[in-house]
Amino acid sequence: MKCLFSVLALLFVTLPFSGECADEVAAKFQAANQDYQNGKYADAAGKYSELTEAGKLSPELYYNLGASYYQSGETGNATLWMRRALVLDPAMPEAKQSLAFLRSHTGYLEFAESGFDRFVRQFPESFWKWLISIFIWAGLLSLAVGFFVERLKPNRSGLITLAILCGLASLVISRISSYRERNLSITNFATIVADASSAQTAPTPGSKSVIDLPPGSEVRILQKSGNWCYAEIPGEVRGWIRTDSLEPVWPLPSKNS
Amino acid sequence: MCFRIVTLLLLCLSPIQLIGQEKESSITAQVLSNKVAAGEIGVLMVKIRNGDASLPERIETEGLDILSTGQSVSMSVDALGGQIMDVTYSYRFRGEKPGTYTIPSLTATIRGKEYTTNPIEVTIVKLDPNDHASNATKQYFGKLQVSKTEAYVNEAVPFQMAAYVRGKNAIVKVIAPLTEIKHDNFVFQPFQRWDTSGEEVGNNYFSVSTIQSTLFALKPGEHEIGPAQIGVEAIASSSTFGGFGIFQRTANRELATNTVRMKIKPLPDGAPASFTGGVGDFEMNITPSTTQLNLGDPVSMEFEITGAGNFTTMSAPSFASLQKGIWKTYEPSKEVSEGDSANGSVEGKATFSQVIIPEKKTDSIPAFEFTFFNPTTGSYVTRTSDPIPISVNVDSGSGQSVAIPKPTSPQSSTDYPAESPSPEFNDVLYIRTTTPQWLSQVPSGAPGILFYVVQTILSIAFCTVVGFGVSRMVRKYQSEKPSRDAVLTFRQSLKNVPGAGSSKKEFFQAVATSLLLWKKEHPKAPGEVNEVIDRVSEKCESILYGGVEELESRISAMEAAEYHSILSKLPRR
Repeated sequence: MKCLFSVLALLFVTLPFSGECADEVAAKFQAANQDYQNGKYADAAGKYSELTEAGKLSPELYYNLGASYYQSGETGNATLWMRRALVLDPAMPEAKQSLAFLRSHTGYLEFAESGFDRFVRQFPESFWKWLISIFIWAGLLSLAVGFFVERLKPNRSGLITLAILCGLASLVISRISSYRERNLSITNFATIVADASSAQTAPTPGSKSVIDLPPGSEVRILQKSGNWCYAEIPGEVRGWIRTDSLEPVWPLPSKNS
Repeated sequence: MCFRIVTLLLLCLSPIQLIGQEKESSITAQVLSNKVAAGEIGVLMVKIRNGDASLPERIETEGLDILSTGQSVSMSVDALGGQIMDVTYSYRFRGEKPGTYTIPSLTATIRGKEYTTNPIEVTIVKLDPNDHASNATKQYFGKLQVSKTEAYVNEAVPFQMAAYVRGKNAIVKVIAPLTEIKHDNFVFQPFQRWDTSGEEVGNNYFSVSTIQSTLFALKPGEHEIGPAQIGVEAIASSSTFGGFGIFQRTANRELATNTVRMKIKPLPDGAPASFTGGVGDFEMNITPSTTQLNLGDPVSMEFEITGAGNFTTMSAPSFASLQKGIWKTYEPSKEVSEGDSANGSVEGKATFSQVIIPEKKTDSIPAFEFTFFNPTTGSYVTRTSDPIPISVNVDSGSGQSVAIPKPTSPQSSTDYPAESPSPEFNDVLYIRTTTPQWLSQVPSGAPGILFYVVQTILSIAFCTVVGFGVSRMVRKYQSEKPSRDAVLTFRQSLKNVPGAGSSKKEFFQAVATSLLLWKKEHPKAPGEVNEVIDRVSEKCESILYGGVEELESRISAMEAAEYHSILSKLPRR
């Protein structure tokens, strides 16, 4: 009884605040939009950033932040936030179109996506897990009924064949799923945000350059070592990049880190 | 030694000796060139006239290394008809450090009288690849020259490359595949032919092959062109058969040229809109394919640009004024025919063909403009054509805009497929000002609760089927256990012994089993009985496993009765 009372009290206290918070967030978003319309791009970017740091998730918010960064001359951050907008809304046409412009404008490097990659990426990770589980269970149930259900004993060979096919299918799909997780998962990618960045041959300041990385370039992190990241770069190139010159696309770094 | 004997012989046989007149002897020394590049080889010749003397193999000189390379003798006739004999001693010398050095005077004793040469001053200069005179001591070298070292971007500049090989007619031909000049910021027109001539460089005669072409720069700035490479087939040596060229040996040589610095200026600002990249001096001539047409019919315009300049990088002329909605234009095609650039000229012609289609009734093809940059005057020049009167027939709706009919088939000769506009990404799109779609959580790829529910249901179903199946198997196993565990007795086994007509295998197996059971049931049987049983058992085994008997054959009635009799006589428990 005491516990129920505590929960009700908590709801009573927090509900009005949550409504007020929503209004506050909307007001801050509108204020940032106003700054952008007035040409105060840095102010707009600051206000949008406050919302993202507060944990607000919205493709429009991320897109607007990217546009503000672009207008402030930070093309690397602009590309990063456009990509983050696409994480929340993979079909967002504004972000896609603006990224096409940024690519032609800065010449940043981007991984080429094959038709197979596009096909695999269009289905979420859960879809592949569903498929794997369906095929595994179908195979196991086929075996079970083939061996233990007397009425289906005449169809045992057919059921065993079905079980083998289901096993093979689940094997293939699990390989596709692991390929997706390894190569296409957004958590593996980072964007170059620094203006004059390059990949080096070794994680030391004096090492030689492998390739220049224009802001907005996409890299795949393979290993982290102190202030350096070992990364795969579009064009089947690898090199060491300073950690402070890139930002992971997803998840957003926590405020403390 | 041999040479000295020949010289003495010639002296002995010469008319000087015969007529007893003694001609005046002399000794002179000279160098081919007083100016020699450091590290290069110079030539010193000491000529002794009407006599011979012994000269040193090496002449010691500070800063110079002078070594004898041999001697030659030549006979000639003077104005009075007397014969003159010259013995020439050749030396080669080389200096490593730049400076002025003196080859000391040489003293020779000719017929008991001492003669002395004059000292010679030689200047060793630092090797400069662009110093043409310093090349005089080389056997062969290449030379690159541009007509001007300061030019505009895209301005055609004549240039010349020359191959020098020492000696008359020493160059057989220029080898085109071995001749090349490259630079990322320049376009070089191909070489067409070469001219061969001769030239004296530093007292030496060289055969010269000259090739000319034009170049134009793509980027402004200071650029260094060269060294280029010229491949020539040159005379390597001639035979001793009078130099008639029959037995001449040739060799391919790759001659590196000097480098040339060029300052390339950007085109000035303020280019008119009709400027299409032409730099030079051009004239424009326009010809339409027809002047009588129907609305929507295509007219092929031919623009002929003649003059001197960069035909390869220029684009077609355009309408002098906007013709949107009146004339539809298509991408022009281009054909360039440049003139002979062997003499350094860049005269040529570019022909553009462009299809235009009237979309409205009009009485003329409007003026076209072609603007180019004239590097001589340093200004932009615009050539404007006159409007060309035409007659456009309209079937209906005179003066109204009409849609261009789409081609009926791709093979039609009048096919001009409409151009689909392609997007241009010139800026990021404006921000989204609508109410944003706030998400409570990031759409993750992790499967939801339904996934785990389904997994649980399927697990239960699987376990149920397996569980029921296993329990059924256990029950069946247990129900069959008593019969499996039941012990067969001798008495029961007798029932299994078949009668006459059964196969021997079946019969003797049954008999052997019965005997085995009997022995098991009667462990303390008398010895005689045991012996009989063992014998019968052995016989059964020999029949079963001996391989002699046909096991599938039928057992006879008599044999079966015999064994039945033995078995029946055994005591039973």
